[in-house]
Amino acid sequence: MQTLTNKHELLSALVDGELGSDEIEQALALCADDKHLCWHTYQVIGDVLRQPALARSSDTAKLIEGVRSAVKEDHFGAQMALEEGVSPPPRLVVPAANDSAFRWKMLAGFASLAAVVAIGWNSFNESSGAFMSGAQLASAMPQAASVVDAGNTPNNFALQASEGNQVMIRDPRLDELLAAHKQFGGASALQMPAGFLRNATFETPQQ
Amino acid sequence: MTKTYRMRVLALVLATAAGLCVSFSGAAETHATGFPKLEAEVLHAPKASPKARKQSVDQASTSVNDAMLPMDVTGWVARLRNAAQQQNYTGTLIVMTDAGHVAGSRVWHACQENQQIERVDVLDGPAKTVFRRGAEMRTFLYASRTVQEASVNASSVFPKLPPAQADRLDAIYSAHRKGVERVAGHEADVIWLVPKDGLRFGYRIWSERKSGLVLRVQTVQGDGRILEQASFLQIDLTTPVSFEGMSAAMDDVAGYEVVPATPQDGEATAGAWRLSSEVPGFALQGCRTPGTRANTVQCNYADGLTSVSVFVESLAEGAAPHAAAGWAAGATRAIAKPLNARTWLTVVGEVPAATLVIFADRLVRVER
Repeated sequence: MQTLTNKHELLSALVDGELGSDEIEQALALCADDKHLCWHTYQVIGDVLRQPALARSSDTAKLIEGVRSAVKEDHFGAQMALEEGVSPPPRLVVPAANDSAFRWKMLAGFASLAAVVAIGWNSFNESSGAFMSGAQLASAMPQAASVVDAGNTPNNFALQASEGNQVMIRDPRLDELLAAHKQFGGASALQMPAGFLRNATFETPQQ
Repeated sequence: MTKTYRMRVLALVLATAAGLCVSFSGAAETHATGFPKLEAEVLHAPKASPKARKQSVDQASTSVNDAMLPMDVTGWVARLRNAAQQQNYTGTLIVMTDAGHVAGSRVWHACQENQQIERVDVLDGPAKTVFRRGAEMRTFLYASRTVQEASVNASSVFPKLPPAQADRLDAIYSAHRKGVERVAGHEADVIWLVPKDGLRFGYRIWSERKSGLVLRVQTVQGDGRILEQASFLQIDLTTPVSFEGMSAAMDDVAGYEVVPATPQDGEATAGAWRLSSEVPGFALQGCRTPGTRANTVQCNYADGLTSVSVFVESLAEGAAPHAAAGWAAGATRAIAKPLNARTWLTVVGEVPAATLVIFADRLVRVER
């Protein structure tokens, strides 16, 4: 009996047109028999590997909303940050070569929630749908910032994340504002040359 | 057969475990180099003779008298800025954040009289090339065969600080020399610019010893943690770089669809919203309406080393308000909140989140 690995390998080769006639028959039989071996998945992966632009989502707004609600509901991720109180392994957030494909960014944001929390997506206490008063903000934010920046008292931040306060998802609107800030506001002496080069290198506009 | 299979399995594992799809240089199948416009002979001027090159290297290795180096922040900033205006170079730059984001690029920079041109070939993600000539910017996106035009605020590239603000640099930062280290193959002076209050980040700068060119910048928060780093891995200060060659490559848009710059940014005043009192060290640079966002007024405040943008956005009738939120990546932070039912505020800057909150807190509506 074929192992699961062999079945996957056979299907992968079939997608690439690398099978002989006997093997093709065998592989096609697998497609019909085993619904867990997803023929479509291999097609999609192959397409994405060949052309990253195919990995783009057609409905980003819906996707953002989904991720946003998932982030709010993911107590497990918040708990991880609570328990660890340290930055997550870098491998979770290494950008892929197809980083500009928005869907993958969203997937990354979802799957590496613990990373996202720990690297400092600031959030704010929101009372009755409105922001805190100025005095409250002024007194609370340095603490929140230190939580985010130093990771020394993660309880507040994890609590905020798990209680439904929002983190700002990097959507096209935020990208526009960030770009406007970089374009008009990067009035830093240090911005040159490293700043402009940094922006040109690091920026991944939504194409 | 097994090779492609292994690639797919790896892609599946990574995509499901970390939410990332690691591309196996998919674009490389389309572009062998990733950069169709990359033609060394276009970019480089004729090679200097071995003799001239040796002389240049000898000059570069001449020891620099420490007494000639600046003592204060203002002096260092001027030195770093002047170097960028006078020094040609090619190199490989890498940008990293504390979250592990990494992006690299190949960079060419040439100066001619009072003009500078730069070419940045982005090495991570989809292949693209960014050109900047003065305030003019063009981005070649190879996958979609398009060229995006944009204008860079010249002052953001070479900020000319008002004298009063330049003087204030030493009131809000202090400069500390930390010896000499070797970076990207060159001797560099290490300078720490340390903020005197908690409203801004500090900077560690590696400045090429002879020219003053910035080879590495680290943005550091109060507890010493490095939030972001931009560093040359390798840089060549002696190979001639052709201004004309790069300029011609920037203008060669044949075969590309050119997307012109968005409508001209509108001049704007701060409007009905302004700061009730100045945030220490930050001065208003100006306000505008970004060409892409007619319903938004952007006002920028800078302290000479970093800046904060305040965006006040009028929401359309019936538009769903956004949720109050915060965001951060590397040294950049953003916060957002409603000012009232019809007005939305976003504050962005390379400063601690607490500083953004102070800006948001001090924004008041001016009664007319």
